[in-house]
Amino acid sequence: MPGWQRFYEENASKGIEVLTVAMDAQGAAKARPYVELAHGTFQTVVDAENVLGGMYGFRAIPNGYLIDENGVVQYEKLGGFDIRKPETAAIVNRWAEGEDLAAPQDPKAEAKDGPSAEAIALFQKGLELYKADSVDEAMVLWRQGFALDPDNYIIRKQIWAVENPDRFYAGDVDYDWQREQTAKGQ
Amino acid sequence: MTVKASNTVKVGDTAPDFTLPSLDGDPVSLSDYRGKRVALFMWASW
Repeated sequence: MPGWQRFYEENASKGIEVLTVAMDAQGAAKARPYVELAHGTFQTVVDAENVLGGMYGFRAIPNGYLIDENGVVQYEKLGGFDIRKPETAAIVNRWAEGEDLAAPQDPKAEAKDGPSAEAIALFQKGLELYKADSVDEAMVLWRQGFALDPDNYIIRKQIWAVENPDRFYAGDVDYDWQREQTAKGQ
Repeated sequence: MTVKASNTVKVGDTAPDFTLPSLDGDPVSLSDYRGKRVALFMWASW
């Protein structure tokens, strides 16, 4: 987030906006600390229901879409879009300078299918239960969604975060633990 | 049988509009930014 704040400060005068979407089913309270830590003045919205996963066709984050003034996508990167990485920073800076990026840079992304609509529907049904404090029942539906679409890391990691808050919200996110879960097929 | 979501956005497509709550709960739409260039970034606390 500090990287995005820096980018925003450097480029807002060029008519560039930064809109970040937190895909947190647990809502704004989980996302806000990251924005506050970065003193973020860019806009952040929360997509608790994973609406954009279905609408844009992704099942993992972090993702970036660079959009022109007419609303047309000039560049997209699904997964690994991290402004702390030199390659991501280079792309967003070239785009900010007005370079035409309107060529598909990521053939892998082009070939990918979208996520399972059924899995997202199960996730959304589960979220209603989660909000009604029926967490166990919610996790049953989220696991059904994950089983239908095992590559859907939005659903998968949200299960981890709800069931293992100490690995996510008690200091730094424990990425070693996440790699262990992935290896175990959890 | 798995139904794939129908919309997979590609370069050259118009970005689908959406309205989502800000951290303070106010509705924000992508279309609010028409006329500006937008870096749209999806992330999460996890």
